[in-house]
Amino acid sequence: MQKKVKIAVMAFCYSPLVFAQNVNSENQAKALDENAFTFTEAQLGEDDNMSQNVTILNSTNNAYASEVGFLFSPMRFRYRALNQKYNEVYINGASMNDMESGQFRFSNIGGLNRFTRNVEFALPFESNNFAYGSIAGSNNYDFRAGSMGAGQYISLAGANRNYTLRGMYTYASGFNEKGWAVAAGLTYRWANHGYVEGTFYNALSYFFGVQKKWNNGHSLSFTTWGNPTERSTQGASTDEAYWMANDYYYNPYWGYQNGHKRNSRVVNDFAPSGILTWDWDINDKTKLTTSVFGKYSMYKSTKLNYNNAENPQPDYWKNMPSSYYDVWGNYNAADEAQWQRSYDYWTSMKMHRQINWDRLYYANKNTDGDAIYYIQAKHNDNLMLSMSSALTHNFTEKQTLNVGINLAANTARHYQTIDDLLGASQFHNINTYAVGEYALSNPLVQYDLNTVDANGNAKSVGVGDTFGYDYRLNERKALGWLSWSEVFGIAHYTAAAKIGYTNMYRNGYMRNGLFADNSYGKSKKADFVDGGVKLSSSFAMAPGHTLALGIGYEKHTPTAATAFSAPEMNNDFVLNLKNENIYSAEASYQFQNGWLHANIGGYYNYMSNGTEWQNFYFDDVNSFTYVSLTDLRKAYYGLEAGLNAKLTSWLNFKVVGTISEAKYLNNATATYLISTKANVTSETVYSKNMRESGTPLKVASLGLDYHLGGWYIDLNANYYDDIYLSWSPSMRYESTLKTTKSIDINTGEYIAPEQAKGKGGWMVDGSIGKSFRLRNGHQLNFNFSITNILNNQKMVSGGYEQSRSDYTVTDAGDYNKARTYKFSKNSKKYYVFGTNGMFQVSYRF
Amino acid sequence: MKKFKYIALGLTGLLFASCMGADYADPDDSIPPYGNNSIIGTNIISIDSLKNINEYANAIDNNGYKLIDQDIQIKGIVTGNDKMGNIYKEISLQDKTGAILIRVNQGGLFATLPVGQEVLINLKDLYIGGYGKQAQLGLLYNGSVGYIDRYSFNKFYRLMGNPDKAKAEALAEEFDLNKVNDETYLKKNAGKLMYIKNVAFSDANGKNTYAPKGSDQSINRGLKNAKTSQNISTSNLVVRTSTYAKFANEVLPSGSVDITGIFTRFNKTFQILLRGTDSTEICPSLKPFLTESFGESQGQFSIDNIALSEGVDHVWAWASAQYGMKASANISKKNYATQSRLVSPAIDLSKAKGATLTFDQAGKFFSTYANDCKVQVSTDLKNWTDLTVSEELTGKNWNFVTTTCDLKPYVGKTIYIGFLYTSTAEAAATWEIKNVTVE
Repeated sequence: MQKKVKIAVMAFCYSPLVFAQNVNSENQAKALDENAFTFTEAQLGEDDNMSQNVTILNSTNNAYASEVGFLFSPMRFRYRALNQKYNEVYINGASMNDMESGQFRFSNIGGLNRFTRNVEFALPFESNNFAYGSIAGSNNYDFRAGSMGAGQYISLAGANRNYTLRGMYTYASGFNEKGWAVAAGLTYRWANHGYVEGTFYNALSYFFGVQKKWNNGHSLSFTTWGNPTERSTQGASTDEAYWMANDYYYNPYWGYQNGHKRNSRVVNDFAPSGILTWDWDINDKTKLTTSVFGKYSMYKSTKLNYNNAENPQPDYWKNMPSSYYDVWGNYNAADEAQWQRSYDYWTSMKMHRQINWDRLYYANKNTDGDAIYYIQAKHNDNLMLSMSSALTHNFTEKQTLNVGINLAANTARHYQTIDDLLGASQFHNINTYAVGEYALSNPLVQYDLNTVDANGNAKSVGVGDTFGYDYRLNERKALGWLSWSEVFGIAHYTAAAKIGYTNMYRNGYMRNGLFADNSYGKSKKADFVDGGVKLSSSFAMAPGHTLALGIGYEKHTPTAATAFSAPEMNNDFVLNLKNENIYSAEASYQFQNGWLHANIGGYYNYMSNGTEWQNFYFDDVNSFTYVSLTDLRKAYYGLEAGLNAKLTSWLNFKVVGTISEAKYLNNATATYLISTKANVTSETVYSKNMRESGTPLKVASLGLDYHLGGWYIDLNANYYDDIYLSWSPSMRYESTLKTTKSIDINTGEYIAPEQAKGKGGWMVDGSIGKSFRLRNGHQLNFNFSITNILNNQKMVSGGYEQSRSDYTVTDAGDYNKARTYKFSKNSKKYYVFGTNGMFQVSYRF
Repeated sequence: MKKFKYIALGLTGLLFASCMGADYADPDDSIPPYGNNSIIGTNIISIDSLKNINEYANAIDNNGYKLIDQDIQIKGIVTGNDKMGNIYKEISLQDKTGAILIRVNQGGLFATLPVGQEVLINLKDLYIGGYGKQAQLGLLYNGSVGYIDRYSFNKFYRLMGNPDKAKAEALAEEFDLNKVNDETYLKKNAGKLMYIKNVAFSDANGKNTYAPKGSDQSINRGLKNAKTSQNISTSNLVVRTSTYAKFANEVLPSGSVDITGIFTRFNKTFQILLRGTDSTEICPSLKPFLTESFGESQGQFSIDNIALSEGVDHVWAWASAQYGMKASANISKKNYATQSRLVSPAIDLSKAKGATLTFDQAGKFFSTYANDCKVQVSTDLKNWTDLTVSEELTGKNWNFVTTTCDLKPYVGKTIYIGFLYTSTAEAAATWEIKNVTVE
């Protein structure tokens, strides 16, 4: 009896490998990696757009969680609407999440589908032996060379997604008699013209791992991988622009230069990584896994910018017909004629609604002085080093202790360079936004007082030179965690705790004129101690009936990305920076028998003392602002249900769905720095009842899964709703509501505008494949997957409210007059791709 | 670490060298990508004559508007635009005869229409009108001449060649403070690029700025005549600056300055719109390049006796403080044939924007003034060019007449002024010169 349980426990521990060979899971793992990223990649331009990211989620025993990760990725579904930073990704026990933003950059493992199939997943309250676990799930990929299925694999795929062609080759040797194993792979993804016009894609992924296993229980493995990528991106635009372009994928970021398409926002991303893992099976009850990880990530993203001129973006609001005439307002013939002229211009030629590069070059060549239009590049060069160690000890088959320690250090240099002067002959490192506010001779307008010449003139910068800002954020973290799992009669419970320490500081390399004493050199150091405890248990009520409960509390250190008030300008931390409090609870019921597997559960996450950060142009003060939102209180709660019914041995029927809510509970404090002045303003922002954006809060899916005779066909009908767009803080500042007199006459309270929503709807996805086992033991596989078979292009996958005001203000800050163009009614949106698919042929030998 | 990064990026770059990211050939700029390149100047008229066409002149004067339905064009140089944020949503266009403002509803016009850009404007379907009697071109909007929208504007203009700032500077004229009240002067010069010399800001106190923020969007600053210290009435002449100008928060310069700008008008007032505050627009007044009163002696002038008859040993000589330098070849009531030149010292006009020679002259006994007395200029003391004098002496009396000659074409050079006296045996005039200045 005990032996059986022992075997069962061991089997459970190794189940991920087992599942990896299961045909269904193979598909899942493959699809998850692919879809999770390909749909969002075009919209991932800059670091701060990472809110569009998806969560990596899977499960071996939860019918809901095992599906949502890949099923809903076309709509960028995030598990429980939580920010991606609560979704942890590990490789060989080492944390891979970016230390600054907290989020995991999927591009780090993009293209490595064949190597990311050995993965342990842990839902928020599931026990695991690699981490404390996170409220949006944790995943631990096994990148050891010896864990890769032996054999060679080659595949060729064609798609009409962000990339059009993909070639892959992998090799894994498995362990030989001497205990050596080698695994290697190369993937190349390419598109000259991606699904969205004006985008291209070029990515090479490589993987190389070697492992040596000794008979004494030690094993050492070294793996290195990277995914150098160059791709161009899609910009969100307004419904008016999409309507005029007659194209839901209108992309304002590209234009014609000499007849060729050129995109202004190109991302270059390369993060070579390496991990050295030492496994020590101390005895058959104890295992120690230690990894040392290093990654140097180089990220660069370009942007077309302008100096003193009008914004050359084709969908700049002054180029839109609705900026001349409000079709819903009073009739005015002159304005209507203007609207018509603008509309005719937009719709007459494609070139009229894209960037006109030829014009930008012409203007630059004919100007004396600094470039009027130029391409700037935002760089993030980041070195991360970490050491993680986890010890698992099974006291008995019923009692397991996991103890772990992680040490990590991260240093990231953020700077801006000139990428292309577009035919101009010069540029200077001066704060052009502040000139005018102050005289040109005033040192306040300099970006770097250290490089100003003897006459007080800003330094001349050329292509490749740094300008604007140049700073480094340094962070060190230490974490200790432990978890105790015990089987106690019908209960299996896990208690876990963690404690961590973070230290962070900024080091500025430019002395900004507005903050001459507080921008160059090291900032003060901020220390945080955080931690958490949680308790989860599952009760095997009766055979097949399991009740699971979980409760947890943790304190979460703010990420370095949100901790500084305006890192581009000075060394200040956000005022009142606090650790975030997170209370989480979950209850679920699972039923499983021979043919039916169902889960239903509810969850509740409550966060307080949250901190968020963003920057945008705020009209009312006529300059760029850096905004910190503090004292945020949020609640995430909902019901999740999943059902997988084996109707016959070759047909499964699946139902999956969630009804959830993710909202801000209070009116937070907004503290913003006006970039042309040295002062900081604090006021209340009416954030109450704003929702998390960019993910559908209601989803449902009905699916059929056919698998017989080497054929596998999937059909899923998915329904998405309650998609909110990212809300604009400045529209809801108390001062803004006062200016616009947005007050309830009866109660005297301010009324904040409702949050913009995106349209949801039905999307049908399917895939069909056949695998042939050839006589020589090799396997040939065909797979054709289509997303959005019904071509429903009307669904919005994400977007943001515009932060500019519907009105102008006087110098004193009072309401002046309304603008014809209503920013509040013109949110920028991304629409989901229409019918798109991939056809792949693979050969395993 | 940096090296590694460069190597890594280099490898990445190599890999993708052929691809879409990196290589963009510069566009061909021989055909401007702005404007309407099919406009042909079949019927170009001067800006001044455009403003004088009866119905248009009435529209300008009465702050009204008139549609231009004739197939005519004007061609001029852009003299002012929104580069420094002061001349907002309009450009000033000037040809040799006059100037006009063109209003366009677009920011960043300076990118397409930099100062010095020659533009051909097709006038048909544009509206001409006035605002405060300042002539302007635009399109009709709600009953007055409003902005030309950015879409229509593209059809009305054609860029001719590359911009050349010197072309704009060549059109700059000196403002005559004496005519500040003259309606004809206002009409003729409103909208032109001009410069005024030797004025000072009445409000300059080391702290006051051009356009401090307040309830107004533009601020008028008054001037005074720096030579006489007399205030110039602000209903006649002001420097008007927008609070949105890049130099709005710069301190007003103290002392005597020369100001260059677009001299627009608002009814009876000349409003100078600055194009910036660097030394080409506002600079401390240049001292006169030459002043010689001949009150005490010949000064630094030299005499070149080109031809003297037998018995004549001099022509030019210093006479007295009252008469200055006198040239005469009549000795003891006998006329002799001579030719002699009174030559000034070198005059450096390299920093000048414009220059005028002013002198007082008197004389009698000419055979023909124009033959006997020539005012000349030379850059090398060898080749001399005649200058046109503003006044020719009648020879009827001994009154001193203040005379000027324009030296604008010689701006940037070093010159010499020569007063050439010629006499014959039949006629030898007496010519007196004093109070010579070049400024």
